[in-house]
Amino acid sequence: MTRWVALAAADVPIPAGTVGGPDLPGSVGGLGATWDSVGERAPEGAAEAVALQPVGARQVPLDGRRLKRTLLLSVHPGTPDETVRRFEADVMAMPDHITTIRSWALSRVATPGSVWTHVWEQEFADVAGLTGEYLMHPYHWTYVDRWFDGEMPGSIVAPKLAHVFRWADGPVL
Amino acid sequence: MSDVRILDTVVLRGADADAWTAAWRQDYLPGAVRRGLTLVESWREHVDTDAIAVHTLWKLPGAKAFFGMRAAAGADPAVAAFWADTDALAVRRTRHVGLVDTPEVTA
Repeated sequence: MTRWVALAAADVPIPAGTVGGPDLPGSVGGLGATWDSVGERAPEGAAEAVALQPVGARQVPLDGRRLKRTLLLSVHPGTPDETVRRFEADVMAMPDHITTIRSWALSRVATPGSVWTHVWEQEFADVAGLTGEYLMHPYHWTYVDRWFDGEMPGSIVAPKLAHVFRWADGPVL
Repeated sequence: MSDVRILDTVVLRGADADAWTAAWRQDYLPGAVRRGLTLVESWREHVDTDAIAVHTLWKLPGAKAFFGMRAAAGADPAVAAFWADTDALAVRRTRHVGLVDTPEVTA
């Protein structure tokens, strides 16, 4: 079975078997709501859905409601695979430094024709875990951000991102 | 509090250094200041028989300001164009971003 991440308008009904919710203020690049599902096909009604091919993941117990954050990004075409793997390793080391990241998953996009190449997902106990330690940790902005910063020689990630986060009633990852 | 530092180093052939510096002052510096960067210092270093490194040190008041600057730069095609032109000319270029950790020194 394939895991999917989908972007949809906030007023589109969430199909059965899919979990999702409206993107919270501070989200950028989404369409109003984000859905998560597991199945053979993309959830119906989404404006955009990507199939996920796992690169790495970790499940960390967390009770109750949590914040689900999804980052869809696109690595420039033609980037050498060795460079892509170094980027992926640097991203997957973020939970070693940033303690507010609970469960996480990094995936390559397996949907042909998608503008996105990767999906980086995390769960947090609260919004502050994302907007505070995650964003402000020096490992993030002095190191990992070099892959995203267009002013940095060697950056490989296109400026267009979808950085969306929503509440989830239970585990998604 | 200014706790973010950015150090740009652009290594150029000697004959290119003056023209690049003039272009940087005209085409990059004003926009960088508008994006929140404060110029601390800029200096030159001869790094080979015919190569000059131009170092530029910037500061920002924190990580939030850093990401604000990043977003503004990413939305401005002139920034990407300036660095593309620079990379076509330069021998090499680096940018380092760091968190200030200067110890207090007492006499």
